[in-house]
Amino acid sequence: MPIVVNLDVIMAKRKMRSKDLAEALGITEANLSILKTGKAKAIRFSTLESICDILNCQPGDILEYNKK
Amino acid sequence: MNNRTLKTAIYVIRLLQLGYLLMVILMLYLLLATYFNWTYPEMVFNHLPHWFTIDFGENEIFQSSFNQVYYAVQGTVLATLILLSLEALIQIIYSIRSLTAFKSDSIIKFRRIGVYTFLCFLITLVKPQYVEQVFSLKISFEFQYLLFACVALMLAEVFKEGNNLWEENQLTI
Repeated sequence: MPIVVNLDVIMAKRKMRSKDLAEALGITEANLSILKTGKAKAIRFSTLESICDILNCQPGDILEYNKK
Repeated sequence: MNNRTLKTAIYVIRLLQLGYLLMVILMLYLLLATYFNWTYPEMVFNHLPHWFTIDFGENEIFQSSFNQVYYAVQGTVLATLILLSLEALIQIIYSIRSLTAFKSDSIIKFRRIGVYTFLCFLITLVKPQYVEQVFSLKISFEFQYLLFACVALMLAEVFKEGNNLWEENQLTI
């Protein structure tokens, strides 16, 4: 899929652990891992909003379109 | 899911399975009876209603030993295939009860039912008879098996689509 999830990059910049983010988002670590590894088929706006709020970033910082 | 309709369906299918199991036993008995020269039990009871009696005497199965062996084997295979189909159907109902109907298992089971019933159609397609030194071959189309096979294979495709949607839903974060 040409949509790349850069969540791990932003998390590393904010020095946030997966466990803490999953807890703050109210999702399991397994689901967060699916999102980070790009295996997710879709992301809810509510989840995206929460991620942006917690990591203090824009949706464009997390999602990137890479045509290749 | 604790649905009364599903419970009733399971009971009905279990009863049907019992009936077909008895049919398998009866057919095996008929098959072995030709080899061991067993006598047939008297199954006609005058005091019972007509629909309840089983009269072996006038049946085409007993017109020659070839017929008896052929129809016993055919009946055994047919009843076994129907038994297997019913078992797969029960597994599907259990998966509906446990809210896991759209997992890939159901697709495999529906396909299996489709294949089994199509085999039933093929098995019943040809009806050979050997009566008084004359061999005849009849072709009979048992469309109910073919229709059921088509419905089962179509349902397998529907469940495949359902499985895709279920997986998509599972992978939506």
